Amino acid sequence: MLENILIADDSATARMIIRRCFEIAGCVQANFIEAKDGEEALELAKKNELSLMVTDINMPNMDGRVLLKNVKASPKLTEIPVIVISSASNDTLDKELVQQGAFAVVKKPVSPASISGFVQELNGQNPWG
Amino acid sequence: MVKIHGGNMSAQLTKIDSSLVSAISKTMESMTFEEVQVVSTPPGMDTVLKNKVWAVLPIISPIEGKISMELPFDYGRILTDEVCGGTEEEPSEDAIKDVVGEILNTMAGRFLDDLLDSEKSFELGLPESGRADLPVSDDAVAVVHVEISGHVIRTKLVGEGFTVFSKELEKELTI
Repeated sequence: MLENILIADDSATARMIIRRCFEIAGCVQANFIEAKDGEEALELAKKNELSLMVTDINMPNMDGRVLLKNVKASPKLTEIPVIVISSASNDTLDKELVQQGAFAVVKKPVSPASISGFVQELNGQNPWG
Repeated sequence: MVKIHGGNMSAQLTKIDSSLVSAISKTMESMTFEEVQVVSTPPGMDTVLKNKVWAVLPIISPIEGKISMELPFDYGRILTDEVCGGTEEEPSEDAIKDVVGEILNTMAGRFLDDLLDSEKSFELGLPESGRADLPVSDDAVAVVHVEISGHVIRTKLVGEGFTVFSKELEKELTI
């Protein structure tokens, strides 16, 4: 089960929307940790046992791409699945991010429907029935 | 659903206009569940937007420019209430600015996705929001006004590189 979910986005509104979507998609009992940029997310990832990291791409200080690279390069953090959420998502960028180790890429605006399959997959359920 | 008002405005729509209208409509309708209407420049817009909130977002690549959104501050408060789930507390000015910035961010992604080849990557900067004068020059490539439940939102696109899309559609229309 997804217990500790970290959400990194510089917009408090976006963090709230993402959190609600995950709750509706089945993560009602998860503990949500919020970070306003990649630097803060990386620090929090080192201090908490995360079951999932959800990050925006465009953030100040450290953006989502650099955060993803750092997570995947760290032996301690590399197993954390990372879902990248972005308004600039398209096929080319999605492939690039998945090659860099992203579990999935979701285009803004996030909806419960757009993430529920990933939530089920991460929870060890078959999302396709 | 999008309704177009204002005489023969539909005939004047360029590729940029139609992409902007589509992006605004989809974004706002998904957040407010209300009908979006495109309107010609409403009279007295400066008065309507005297007490406003704005957000501006740099477009870094493949074409350099800026996209902005201005709306009455009171409507920003209503939007914040709707997006944040109608809590009893009055939303703070920072919360309203953040919501408008996030709406613009989502809308800009949809706009560029529609305007550019879907395989083409684009890069956006970080949104900035405020209450005073909008830090965007007046020589906009496109200005679109939409109305939602009586509230007008003005969206501007700045960036010389975008004019190529206006020209392309004008050419198509004359064929």
